[in-house]
Amino acid sequence: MNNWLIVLQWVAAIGMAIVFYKSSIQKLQNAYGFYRIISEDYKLISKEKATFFSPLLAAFEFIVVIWLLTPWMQAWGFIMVACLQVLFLSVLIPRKGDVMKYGCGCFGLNTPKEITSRDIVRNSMILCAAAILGCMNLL
Amino acid sequence: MIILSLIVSLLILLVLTLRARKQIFLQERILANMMPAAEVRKKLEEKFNGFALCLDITRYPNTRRIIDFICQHIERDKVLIYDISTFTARDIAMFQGIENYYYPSLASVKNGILNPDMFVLNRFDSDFKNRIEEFIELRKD
Repeated sequence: MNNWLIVLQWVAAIGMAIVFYKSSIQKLQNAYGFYRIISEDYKLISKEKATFFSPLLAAFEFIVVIWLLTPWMQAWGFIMVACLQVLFLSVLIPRKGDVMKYGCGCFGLNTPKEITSRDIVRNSMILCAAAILGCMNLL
Repeated sequence: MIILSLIVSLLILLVLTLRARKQIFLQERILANMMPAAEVRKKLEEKFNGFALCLDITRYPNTRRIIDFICQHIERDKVLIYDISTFTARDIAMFQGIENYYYPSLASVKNGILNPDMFVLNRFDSDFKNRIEEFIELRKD
């Protein structure tokens, strides 16, 4: 691989690691808030299931950060970022325009906020970059 | 190397998930002990005198420490502790003159009316604890 491609890949990995670190830490620090967002605001799963899956998702985001910064796991890190982004987009897109009590829940809990095209575009960009870099490394 | 990384990742995943799950159960327990909106309304209508500790447990995860600290300085029956996120707009309307409910805050209550001069608990260091104590002492009967 060209040197500039390696540099680009590391810049992307570090950038994504920062985004996912911030996101996971805020969700882990306020696990209860994230659980309420998943079970009550997004109504994705029942409360019982959310007590298990919401902390698992936040912890998984943290694992992705470690993988992105570990050279031999980086490709899988990109693939997992892409998978998580597909999950996040599948939740965000149907709720575009809805005002969520605690914001979109992407980075901790905020004041009531509408899910806008900006949230979707930002997540889509991360998805595209992660998918391209993951496939480039694995193929 | 990859297998070792996966094992370590799995262990970290397990520890973080269990810790966060414990936090959820603890917060659920605190919320279960909170005063429901109807009870807060009843107390205010009965011309309650004392303090009101307004919390938003969903936004602020470390409210347990605040509750413990406040309860060390005010008798439990002299303070209404409630979670504002469980209140409806109608319930919130009982607190006239107060605009921002989403910060953990302590207010004195006289004859069922909250004093809008609230103490916002946005920090919890030793200096802040002293100021909370002063606030309580000045407004105690």
